[in-house]
Amino acid sequence: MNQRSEISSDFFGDTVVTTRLEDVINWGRKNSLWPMPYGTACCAIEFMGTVSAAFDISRFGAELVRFSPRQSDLLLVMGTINYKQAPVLKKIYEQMCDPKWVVAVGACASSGGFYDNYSVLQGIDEVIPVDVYVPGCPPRPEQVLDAIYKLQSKIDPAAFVDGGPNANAR
Amino acid sequence: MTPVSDHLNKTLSKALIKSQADKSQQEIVIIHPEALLDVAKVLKEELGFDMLMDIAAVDWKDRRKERYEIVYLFYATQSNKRVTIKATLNNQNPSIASLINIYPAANWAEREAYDMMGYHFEGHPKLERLLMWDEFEGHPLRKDYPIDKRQPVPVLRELL
Repeated sequence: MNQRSEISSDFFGDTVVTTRLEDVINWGRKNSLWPMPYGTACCAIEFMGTVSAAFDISRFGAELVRFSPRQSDLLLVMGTINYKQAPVLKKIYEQMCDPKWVVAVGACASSGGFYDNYSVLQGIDEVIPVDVYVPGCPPRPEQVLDAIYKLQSKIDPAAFVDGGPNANAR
Repeated sequence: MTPVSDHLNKTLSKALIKSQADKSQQEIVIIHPEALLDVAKVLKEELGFDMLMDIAAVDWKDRRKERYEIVYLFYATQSNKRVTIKATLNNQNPSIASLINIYPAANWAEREAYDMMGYHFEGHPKLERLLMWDEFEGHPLRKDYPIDKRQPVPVLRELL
Protein backbone atom coordinates (compact mmCIF):
# COMPACT_ATOMS: atom_id res chain seq x y z
CA MET A 1 0.00 0.00 0.00
CA ASN A 2 2.74 2.40 0.95
CA GLN A 3 4.55 1.68 -2.23
CA ARG A 4 1.42 2.28 -4.28
CA SER A 5 0.61 5.62 -2.69
CA GLU A 6 4.16 6.72 -3.19
CA ILE A 7 3.94 5.80 -6.83
CA SER A 8 0.64 7.65 -7.30
CA SER A 9 1.90 10.76 -5.51
CA ASP A 10 5.01 10.67 -7.64
CA PHE A 11 2.95 10.18 -10.76
CA PHE A 12 0.06 12.57 -10.11
CA GLY A 13 1.78 15.13 -7.90
CA ASP A 14 -0.76 17.44 -6.19
CA THR A 15 -3.35 17.12 -8.97
CA VAL A 16 -5.34 14.47 -7.06
CA VAL A 17 -7.45 15.07 -3.96
CA THR A 18 -8.66 12.13 -1.93
CA THR A 19 -12.03 12.34 -0.23
CA ARG A 20 -15.13 10.31 0.62
CA LEU A 21 -17.77 9.50 -1.99
CA GLU A 22 -20.54 11.03 0.18
CA ASP A 23 -18.65 14.31 0.42
CA VAL A 24 -18.18 14.49 -3.33
CA ILE A 25 -21.84 13.86 -4.02
CA ASN A 26 -23.00 16.36 -1.43
CA TRP A 27 -20.53 18.90 -2.79
CA GLY A 28 -22.06 18.42 -6.22
CA ARG A 29 -25.60 18.57 -4.90
CA LYS A 30 -25.28 21.69 -2.86
CA ASN A 31 -23.49 23.60 -5.61
CA SER A 32 -25.83 22.63 -8.44
CA LEU A 33 -29.32 23.14 -7.04
CA TRP A 34 -31.96 23.32 -9.74
CA PRO A 35 -34.67 25.59 -8.42
CA MET A 36 -38.28 25.37 -9.43
CA PRO A 37 -40.01 28.71 -8.79
CA TYR A 38 -43.53 28.36 -7.42
CA GLY A 39 -44.27 32.05 -7.59
CA THR A 40 -47.75 33.28 -6.74
CA ALA A 41 -47.10 36.85 -5.58
CA CYS A 42 -44.59 39.68 -5.26
CA CYS A 43 -41.86 37.48 -3.76
CA ALA A 44 -41.51 35.93 -7.22
CA ILE A 45 -40.62 39.38 -8.55
CA GLU A 46 -37.79 39.50 -6.03
CA PHE A 47 -36.68 36.11 -7.31
CA MET A 48 -36.36 37.60 -10.80
CA GLY A 49 -33.95 40.13 -9.30
CA THR A 50 -32.11 37.37 -7.46
CA VAL A 51 -31.58 35.38 -10.66
CA SER A 52 -30.61 38.39 -12.76
CA ALA A 53 -27.17 39.93 -13.11
CA ALA A 54 -27.26 42.36 -10.18
CA PHE A 55 -27.50 39.63 -7.55
CA ASP A 56 -26.75 36.59 -9.69
CA ILE A 57 -27.84 33.40 -7.98
CA SER A 58 -25.51 31.47 -10.31
CA ARG A 59 -22.61 32.49 -8.05
CA PHE A 60 -24.06 29.87 -5.71
CA GLY A 61 -24.70 27.30 -8.41
CA ALA A 62 -28.49 27.57 -8.42
CA GLU A 63 -29.07 29.48 -11.63
CA LEU A 64 -30.59 26.72 -13.74
CA VAL A 65 -34.27 27.51 -13.16
CA ARG A 66 -36.57 24.70 -14.24
CA PHE A 67 -40.28 25.08 -14.69
CA SER A 68 -40.99 21.40 -14.25
CA PRO A 69 -40.94 19.73 -10.83
CA ARG A 70 -39.53 16.57 -12.41
CA GLN A 71 -36.34 18.37 -13.42
CA SER A 72 -35.67 20.28 -10.23
CA ASP A 73 -34.63 19.52 -6.67
CA LEU A 74 -35.27 22.87 -4.96
CA LEU A 75 -38.83 24.12 -4.61
CA LEU A 76 -38.95 27.86 -3.98
CA VAL A 77 -42.44 28.77 -2.79
CA MET A 78 -42.75 32.51 -3.26
CA GLY A 79 -46.07 34.05 -2.45
CA THR A 80 -49.46 33.58 -0.88
CA ILE A 81 -50.79 30.03 -0.94
CA ASN A 82 -54.50 29.80 -0.31
CA TYR A 83 -56.38 26.73 0.83
CA LYS A 84 -57.60 25.80 -2.62
CA GLN A 85 -54.06 25.89 -3.95
CA ALA A 86 -52.60 23.83 -1.11
CA PRO A 87 -53.31 20.41 -2.72
CA VAL A 88 -51.79 21.65 -5.99
CA LEU A 89 -48.61 22.68 -4.19
CA LYS A 90 -48.51 19.30 -2.46
CA LYS A 91 -48.83 17.51 -5.79
CA ILE A 92 -46.01 19.62 -7.30
CA TYR A 93 -43.83 18.69 -4.33
CA GLU A 94 -44.66 15.01 -4.71
CA GLN A 95 -43.72 15.12 -8.39
CA MET A 96 -40.16 16.17 -7.56
CA CYS A 97 -37.53 13.44 -7.35
CA ASP A 98 -35.59 12.79 -4.16
CA PRO A 99 -33.47 14.34 -2.80
CA LYS A 100 -35.48 17.55 -2.72
CA TRP A 101 -35.57 20.69 -0.63
CA VAL A 102 -38.13 23.42 -0.01
CA VAL A 103 -37.58 27.09 0.78
CA ALA A 104 -40.55 29.17 1.96
CA VAL A 105 -39.76 32.63 0.63
CA GLY A 106 -41.50 35.55 2.32
CA ALA A 107 -44.00 36.04 5.08
CA CYS A 108 -46.98 34.54 3.21
CA ALA A 109 -45.38 31.21 2.35
CA SER A 110 -43.87 30.98 5.83
CA SER A 111 -46.87 31.92 7.95
CA GLY A 112 -49.71 33.28 5.83
CA GLY A 113 -48.37 36.81 6.32
CA PHE A 114 -50.98 39.43 6.95
CA TYR A 115 -53.60 37.30 5.19
CA ASP A 116 -54.98 36.01 8.46
CA ASN A 117 -58.34 35.14 6.95
CA TYR A 118 -60.65 32.37 5.81
CA SER A 119 -59.00 31.61 2.49
CA VAL A 120 -55.22 31.60 3.04
CA LEU A 121 -53.06 28.73 4.24
CA GLN A 122 -51.17 29.80 7.38
CA GLY A 123 -47.77 28.66 6.16
CA ILE A 124 -46.94 25.99 3.58
CA ASP A 125 -45.56 23.72 6.29
CA GLU A 126 -49.17 22.67 6.86
CA VAL A 127 -48.91 20.59 3.67
CA ILE A 128 -45.22 20.07 2.79
CA PRO A 129 -41.97 19.95 4.80
CA VAL A 130 -39.92 23.17 4.68
CA ASP A 131 -36.12 23.38 5.01
CA VAL A 132 -35.52 27.13 5.13
CA TYR A 133 -37.88 30.01 5.93
CA VAL A 134 -37.14 33.49 4.61
CA PRO A 135 -38.76 36.43 6.42
CA GLY A 136 -39.70 39.65 4.70
CA CYS A 137 -42.57 41.10 2.73
CA PRO A 138 -41.11 40.73 0.19
CA PRO A 139 -37.57 39.69 1.20
CA ARG A 140 -34.55 41.38 -0.34
CA PRO A 141 -32.67 39.33 -2.96
CA GLU A 142 -29.80 39.05 -0.49
CA GLN A 143 -32.14 37.20 1.85
CA VAL A 144 -33.02 34.70 -0.88
CA LEU A 145 -29.29 34.19 -1.49
CA ASP A 146 -28.80 33.73 2.24
CA ALA A 147 -31.50 31.05 2.18
CA ILE A 148 -29.62 29.21 -0.58
CA TYR A 149 -26.45 29.54 1.50
CA LYS A 150 -28.17 28.17 4.60
CA LEU A 151 -29.66 25.33 2.59
CA GLN A 152 -26.21 24.43 1.27
CA SER A 153 -24.85 24.16 4.77
CA LYS A 154 -27.82 21.92 5.56
CA ILE A 155 -27.22 19.67 2.54
CA ASP A 156 -23.51 19.31 3.19
CA PRO A 157 -23.45 16.94 6.17
CA ALA A 158 -26.49 14.94 5.05
CA ALA A 159 -25.85 11.36 4.06
CA PHE A 160 -27.09 10.45 0.61
CA VAL A 161 -27.69 6.85 1.60
CA ASP A 162 -30.42 5.69 4.03
CA GLY A 163 -33.22 7.43 2.21
CA GLY A 164 -31.63 10.82 1.77
CA PRO A 165 -31.99 14.07 3.65
CA ASN A 166 -35.79 14.05 3.61
CA ALA A 167 -36.10 10.62 5.18
CA ASN A 168 -37.18 12.02 8.52
CA ALA A 169 -39.70 14.42 7.03
CA ARG A 170 -41.74 11.72 5.36
CA MET B 1 -87.42 60.90 -13.16
CA THR B 2 -88.43 57.51 -11.83
CA PRO B 3 -89.71 55.59 -14.86
CA VAL B 4 -89.24 52.12 -13.42
CA SER B 5 -91.10 52.73 -10.17
CA ASP B 6 -93.82 54.66 -12.02
CA HIS B 7 -94.35 51.69 -14.30
CA LEU B 8 -94.23 49.25 -11.39
CA ASN B 9 -96.75 51.39 -9.52
CA LYS B 10 -99.19 50.91 -12.36
CA THR B 11 -98.65 47.19 -12.92
CA LEU B 12 -97.35 45.77 -9.64
CA SER B 13 -98.15 48.30 -6.96
CA LYS B 14 -98.08 45.66 -4.23
CA ALA B 15 -94.47 44.75 -5.01
CA LEU B 16 -93.12 48.21 -4.39
CA ILE B 17 -91.88 49.42 -1.00
CA LYS B 18 -90.15 52.60 -2.03
CA SER B 19 -87.99 54.09 -4.72
CA GLN B 20 -85.18 56.57 -4.64
CA ALA B 21 -82.38 57.88 -6.81
CA ASP B 22 -78.69 57.71 -6.11
CA LYS B 23 -76.21 60.54 -6.62
CA SER B 24 -76.04 59.97 -10.36
CA GLN B 25 -79.85 60.04 -10.64
CA GLN B 26 -79.91 56.29 -11.16
CA GLU B 27 -83.06 54.66 -9.90
CA ILE B 28 -83.08 52.35 -6.87
CA VAL B 29 -86.29 50.40 -6.25
CA ILE B 30 -86.87 48.53 -3.02
CA ILE B 31 -89.34 45.66 -3.38
CA HIS B 32 -90.88 42.85 -1.36
CA PRO B 33 -88.72 39.73 -1.87
CA GLU B 34 -91.68 37.51 -2.79
CA ALA B 35 -92.47 39.81 -5.74
CA LEU B 36 -89.02 39.46 -7.31
CA LEU B 37 -90.00 37.16 -10.18
CA ASP B 38 -92.92 39.40 -11.19
CA VAL B 39 -90.75 42.49 -11.06
CA ALA B 40 -88.01 40.81 -13.09
CA LYS B 41 -90.50 39.78 -15.75
CA VAL B 42 -91.78 43.34 -16.04
CA LEU B 43 -88.25 44.68 -16.18
CA LYS B 44 -87.23 42.34 -18.96
CA GLU B 45 -90.36 42.20 -21.10
CA GLU B 46 -91.92 45.65 -20.65
CA LEU B 47 -89.05 47.97 -19.70
CA GLY B 48 -86.25 46.52 -21.81
CA PHE B 49 -83.80 45.67 -19.03
CA ASP B 50 -82.38 42.72 -20.91
CA MET B 51 -79.19 42.24 -18.94
CA LEU B 52 -78.53 41.22 -15.34
CA MET B 53 -75.21 42.88 -14.53
CA ASP B 54 -74.58 41.53 -11.05
CA ILE B 55 -76.08 40.30 -7.81
CA ALA B 56 -74.71 41.67 -4.55
CA ALA B 57 -75.37 40.43 -1.03
CA VAL B 58 -75.13 42.73 1.99
CA ASP B 59 -74.93 41.77 5.64
CA TRP B 60 -75.91 44.73 7.84
CA LYS B 61 -75.56 42.70 11.07
CA ASP B 62 -76.29 45.04 13.99
CA ARG B 63 -76.99 48.11 11.92
CA ARG B 64 -80.40 46.91 10.76
CA LYS B 65 -83.09 44.79 12.30
CA GLU B 66 -83.34 42.68 9.15
CA ARG B 67 -79.68 42.14 8.44
CA TYR B 68 -79.64 40.42 5.04
CA GLU B 69 -80.14 42.44 1.89
CA ILE B 70 -79.84 41.42 -1.75
CA VAL B 71 -79.13 43.86 -4.58
CA TYR B 72 -79.77 43.24 -8.27
CA LEU B 73 -78.19 45.46 -10.91
CA PHE B 74 -80.00 45.53 -14.26
CA TYR B 75 -79.00 47.18 -17.51
CA ALA B 76 -80.96 47.98 -20.67
CA THR B 77 -78.64 47.61 -23.65
CA GLN B 78 -80.95 49.49 -26.07
CA SER B 79 -81.70 52.57 -23.97
CA ASN B 80 -78.46 52.55 -21.95
CA LYS B 81 -80.44 52.72 -18.69
CA ARG B 82 -79.64 51.09 -15.39
CA VAL B 83 -81.76 50.21 -12.40
CA THR B 84 -81.00 48.74 -8.98
CA ILE B 85 -83.50 46.45 -7.29
CA LYS B 86 -83.10 45.78 -3.57
CA ALA B 87 -84.91 43.42 -1.24
CA THR B 88 -84.53 42.59 2.44
CA LEU B 89 -84.45 38.93 3.40
CA ASN B 90 -85.50 36.99 6.44
CA ASN B 91 -83.02 36.83 9.34
CA GLN B 92 -83.57 33.14 10.09
CA ASN B 93 -83.74 31.86 6.54
CA PRO B 94 -82.51 34.37 3.94
CA SER B 95 -84.29 33.01 0.91
CA ILE B 96 -85.52 34.42 -2.39
CA ALA B 97 -86.64 33.03 -5.74
CA SER B 98 -83.98 32.21 -8.32
CA LEU B 99 -83.86 34.48 -11.36
CA ILE B 100 -82.28 31.78 -13.48
CA ASN B 101 -85.31 31.17 -15.71
CA ILE B 102 -85.60 34.86 -16.63
CA TYR B 103 -81.91 35.83 -16.57
CA PRO B 104 -79.57 32.83 -17.09
CA ALA B 105 -76.69 35.06 -15.95
CA ALA B 106 -78.03 34.69 -12.41
CA ASN B 107 -76.70 31.14 -12.23
CA TRP B 108 -73.18 31.67 -10.91
CA ALA B 109 -73.99 34.97 -9.23
CA GLU B 110 -76.58 33.20 -7.08
CA ARG B 111 -74.18 30.37 -6.35
CA GLU B 112 -71.62 32.90 -5.20
CA ALA B 113 -74.18 34.61 -2.96
CA TYR B 114 -75.02 31.21 -1.51
CA ASP B 115 -71.35 30.34 -1.03
CA MET B 116 -70.25 33.59 0.57
CA MET B 117 -73.40 34.70 2.43
CA GLY B 118 -75.57 31.62 2.76
CA TYR B 119 -78.54 32.99 0.83
CA HIS B 120 -80.92 30.35 -0.47
CA PHE B 121 -82.35 30.65 -3.98
CA GLU B 122 -85.53 28.68 -4.54
CA GLY B 123 -85.59 26.91 -7.88
CA HIS B 124 -81.86 27.09 -8.56
CA PRO B 125 -80.87 23.84 -10.32
CA LYS B 126 -77.41 23.52 -8.72
CA LEU B 127 -77.08 25.59 -5.58
CA GLU B 128 -73.56 24.47 -4.63
CA ARG B 129 -70.45 26.32 -3.55
CA LEU B 130 -68.77 28.24 -6.35
CA LEU B 131 -65.54 29.62 -4.82
CA MET B 132 -65.00 27.71 -1.59
CA TRP B 133 -64.36 23.98 -1.57
CA ASP B 134 -67.04 21.49 -0.62
CA GLU B 135 -65.68 20.72 2.88
CA PHE B 136 -65.78 24.40 3.84
CA GLU B 137 -68.06 25.09 6.79
CA GLY B 138 -70.00 28.32 7.11
CA HIS B 139 -70.27 31.36 4.89
CA PRO B 140 -67.16 33.54 5.15
CA LEU B 141 -68.53 36.95 4.17
CA ARG B 142 -71.16 36.97 6.89
CA LYS B 143 -70.14 39.51 9.50
CA ASP B 144 -70.33 36.96 12.29
CA TYR B 145 -67.95 34.53 10.59
CA PRO B 146 -64.89 34.31 12.92
CA ILE B 147 -61.98 35.91 11.10
CA ASP B 148 -59.41 33.47 12.49
CA LYS B 149 -61.47 30.33 11.91
CA ARG B 150 -59.43 27.62 10.20
CA GLN B 151 -60.86 25.09 7.78
CA PRO B 152 -59.71 21.59 6.76
CA VAL B 153 -57.17 21.66 3.92
CA PRO B 154 -58.99 20.47 0.77
CA VAL B 155 -57.92 17.42 -1.21
CA LEU B 156 -57.08 17.63 -4.90
CA ARG B 157 -59.94 16.70 -7.19
CA GLU B 158 -59.28 15.29 -10.62
CA LEU B 159 -60.48 17.63 -13.31
CA LEU B 160 -60.89 14.92 -15.92
